Amino acid sequence: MPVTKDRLHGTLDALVLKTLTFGPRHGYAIGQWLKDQTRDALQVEEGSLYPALYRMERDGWIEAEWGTSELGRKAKFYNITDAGRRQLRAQTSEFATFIAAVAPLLLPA
Amino acid sequence: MTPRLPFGRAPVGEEVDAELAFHLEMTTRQLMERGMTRSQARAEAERRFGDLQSVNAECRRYGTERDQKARRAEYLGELRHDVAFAVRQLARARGFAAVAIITLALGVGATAAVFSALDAVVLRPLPFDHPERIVEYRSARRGEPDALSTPEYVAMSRSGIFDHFSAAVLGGGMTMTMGELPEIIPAARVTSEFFAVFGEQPVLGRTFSAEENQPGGPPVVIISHRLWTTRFSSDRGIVGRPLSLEGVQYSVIGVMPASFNYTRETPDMWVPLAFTSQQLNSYGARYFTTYARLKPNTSITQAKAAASSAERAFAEHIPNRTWPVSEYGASLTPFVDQLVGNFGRLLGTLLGAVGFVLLIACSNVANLLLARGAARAKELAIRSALGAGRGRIIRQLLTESLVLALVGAGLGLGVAYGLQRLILAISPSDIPRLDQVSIDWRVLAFTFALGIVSCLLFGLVPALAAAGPRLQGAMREGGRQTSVSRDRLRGVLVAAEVALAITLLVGSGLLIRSAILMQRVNPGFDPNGVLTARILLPAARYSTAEDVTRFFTTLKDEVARMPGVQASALVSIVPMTSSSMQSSILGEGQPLDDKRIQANLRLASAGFFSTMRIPFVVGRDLSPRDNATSPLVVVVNEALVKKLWPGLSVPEVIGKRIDAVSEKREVPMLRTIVGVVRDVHDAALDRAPRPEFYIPYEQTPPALWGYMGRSLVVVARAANETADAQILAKPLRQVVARQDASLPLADSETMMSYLKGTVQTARMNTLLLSLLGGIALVLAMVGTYGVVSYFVSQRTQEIGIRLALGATPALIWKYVMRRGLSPIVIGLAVGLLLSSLTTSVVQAQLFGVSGHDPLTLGGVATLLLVVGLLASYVPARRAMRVPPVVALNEG
Repeated sequence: MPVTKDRLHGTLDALVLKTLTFGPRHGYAIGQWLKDQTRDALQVEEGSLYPALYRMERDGWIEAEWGTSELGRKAKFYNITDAGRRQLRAQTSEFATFIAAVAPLLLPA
Repeated sequence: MTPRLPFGRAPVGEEVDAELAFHLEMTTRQLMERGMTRSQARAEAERRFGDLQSVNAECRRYGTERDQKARRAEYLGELRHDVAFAVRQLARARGFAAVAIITLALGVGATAAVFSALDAVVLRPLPFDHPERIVEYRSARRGEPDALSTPEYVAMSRSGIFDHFSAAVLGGGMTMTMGELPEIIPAARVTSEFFAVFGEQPVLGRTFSAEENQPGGPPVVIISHRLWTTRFSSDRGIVGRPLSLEGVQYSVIGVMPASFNYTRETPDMWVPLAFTSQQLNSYGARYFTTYARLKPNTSITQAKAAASSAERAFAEHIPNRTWPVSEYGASLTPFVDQLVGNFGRLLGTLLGAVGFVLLIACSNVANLLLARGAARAKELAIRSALGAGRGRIIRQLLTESLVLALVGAGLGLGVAYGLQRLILAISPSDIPRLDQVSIDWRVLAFTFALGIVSCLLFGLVPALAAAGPRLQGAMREGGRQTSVSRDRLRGVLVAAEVALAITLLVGSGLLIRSAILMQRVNPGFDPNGVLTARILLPAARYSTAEDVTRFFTTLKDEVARMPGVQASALVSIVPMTSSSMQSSILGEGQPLDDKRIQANLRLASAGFFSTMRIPFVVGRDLSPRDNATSPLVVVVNEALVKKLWPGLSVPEVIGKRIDAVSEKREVPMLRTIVGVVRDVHDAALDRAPRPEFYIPYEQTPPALWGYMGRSLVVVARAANETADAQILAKPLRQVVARQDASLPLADSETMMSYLKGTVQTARMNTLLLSLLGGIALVLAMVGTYGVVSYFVSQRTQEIGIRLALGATPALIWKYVMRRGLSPIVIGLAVGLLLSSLTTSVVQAQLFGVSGHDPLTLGGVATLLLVVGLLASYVPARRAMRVPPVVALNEG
């Protein structure tokens, strides 16, 4: 099963939302976290994160606020909303269903 | 969940730039920590980032969408809040809300009802292809429109000025025999171009061919969609089937679409109209209506100019021309105008009247809102102090008005529906298309648009006043703001209401006076207990004048023997129907020129005058001995004597002869006057009687029978005159059937209902205008009451002080009454002036009263003064009884 653009989109969204469940972060920090956690498995250009953030903000899944970063610079901090949490749950369960369906076929028993 | 605006209103572009710059800077720093130079690190950061420009652009796009969504959400949120707040406020002030909503519902509902009628009758386009190109064509002599002669019709249809040109004989009927009872179906005779003029194609079959429009052509008929569905159960095999009409087998060749039944009165059958060679050379007979279809992009003025010169070219060839060629011309009327006629004006007048009611309603609600705004001054001041801007407060107040307006408009729909039913119930049946009136999307849109417009009308000024710059002052005054300018505004509004109400009431008062005067008019005959019914004889079996006369003579004798009939007779046309037969007459010895006068012709039998109770002035009745072989006689009315011989006294004309209904112009047919009867109101009670003459039906020129479809009307007066004369219809039908079972009774109507029919338009007008006047009066009363009682409640303290300082209750009473009455008196004066302008609108519908009838004007003025007194009286009494201590404590 090929990883379609939609699924990639959805996966990126879910990962970003997941990141934000641990607390507000700015875009750079989200990118770092993704890189660390997936051990660079997710080969995306760093820039592609930002349109996703703006899109999710438009859709009301996340909200943003200017704050001060660790280095004392002004940065835009994102936070997950209730709608975002619902979205994350939906995507997670969808992903689980997908895995449950393909895992027995692809993985050795 | 909707996003909030995160950074105030910072432009999206700056936000994206800053955020992306921050990311690049962070990456660069991290790389520099690993030992890169700044420029190396920067380059590597940009590489890792990817296409900076396209990311930036995409972010901006999403960001812009996010901001729009947020603004919309914010606006909707505020609106929802405002609406919820408004509903709570209105629920708290239930009395105020109820009065405002009912007032608006009446104003909006009445306007919507009249609009829906106007829309159905006038505004909605006819269901034809380019209906604006259809015109009724008439020729003109000295500017007077007239029907066309047959040669004239042929010349004009060949002129090429119009796309299509057709002649039609309308208003007739044909006897259809299907099953047991013969019946009369409304039918028209038309030339083959008729359907093309209207741009209509049959849904089944075809229209007439050129051969079918020739004399002696095959008997073919086209039927209406209405007849097809109601009588032939929409049978698709109808084309080619035979149909028995007037005793002849016709063949159905087509069915017209439903849109061709554009009014209730449209015919249900069309048969070919053909011209014989004799008719094609007759310049005198004018009996059909002509319709034309304008060429595309031709204005009616252009077509008229072209047709007028064609008419003058044609006039050159008229033998024995009456007028010089230059007097000939053409007259073109848009078909829709001809169809709608005066009803467009009538409904326009009503819409104007109802607009007045709406204005009164709006100023009433504005007044109520002003009072509320004043009472809420403290609340508004607090909100303003808490940071609400002036615009925000105005928006809140307008939202409240809008809620009122929309609820009012919603209820108004109910009012509109009720009024619509009322209009339908009382309107004359001949208003075209009124039966198609309904509450459709156009009326819905109109109603709610009206609601919103009136909201702005009545809401804006009070909102501006309430949110005015004196808000801080209001807080200090403890909410008891007594601004002089606001009082003046309220006074002006009441004065305006009164002025509008007077204008309306004067109009309806004049119409009521006219109706009363009209009821006193003696029609000239006694309609009680008289039944009338027309009998048409088919040409196939009654071909000669003798056949026709014999039939009617036998019938007349049979009807006279009917039980329950005290008197009966025959006549060609009864008075008070919309039809009449005109003929030009000449006194014996008078020169043959255009001094001929037009008079109503009636064929009548002996006993017609006594049956109708039309009294004789002098002379004798027609008699059965005045037959085809005896000398020609005539009975005339007084109006004819006055017109023809202005110098003679009535008895002097007995024995004189008039030339009337001569078959050829050159050969006079002299008829001797044997009697003179009193005048009868022929067309309507409010129209002066016309010159009329009656000739014995036995002496009818044979050609005339043909024009009249070999028909006469039986008039019979029941022995019991108080009962409904319709009880005679059934026995009459049996009497006719005994003589010829194939003959139906047409237009079986009582004289009473004809008489009522002629006053129906006036009655509807009077009733509706009175209703609107009544509503206006009540609204003006409510308005006055509101203003005065508000005045009193605002001044309880002041009145208490006055009383404590020794003012008598009578003085207080006077003080308050003056407050209430002064705007009324001003409104009265303005209204009376205004009404002298508007009565010209109803002038045409007045009868027996002038537009400045002092009785009506005085009556209306008195009525409003009394209403104003009553409305001020209640609050004034309350003021008189204010206990001084309470009033002072309240402060």
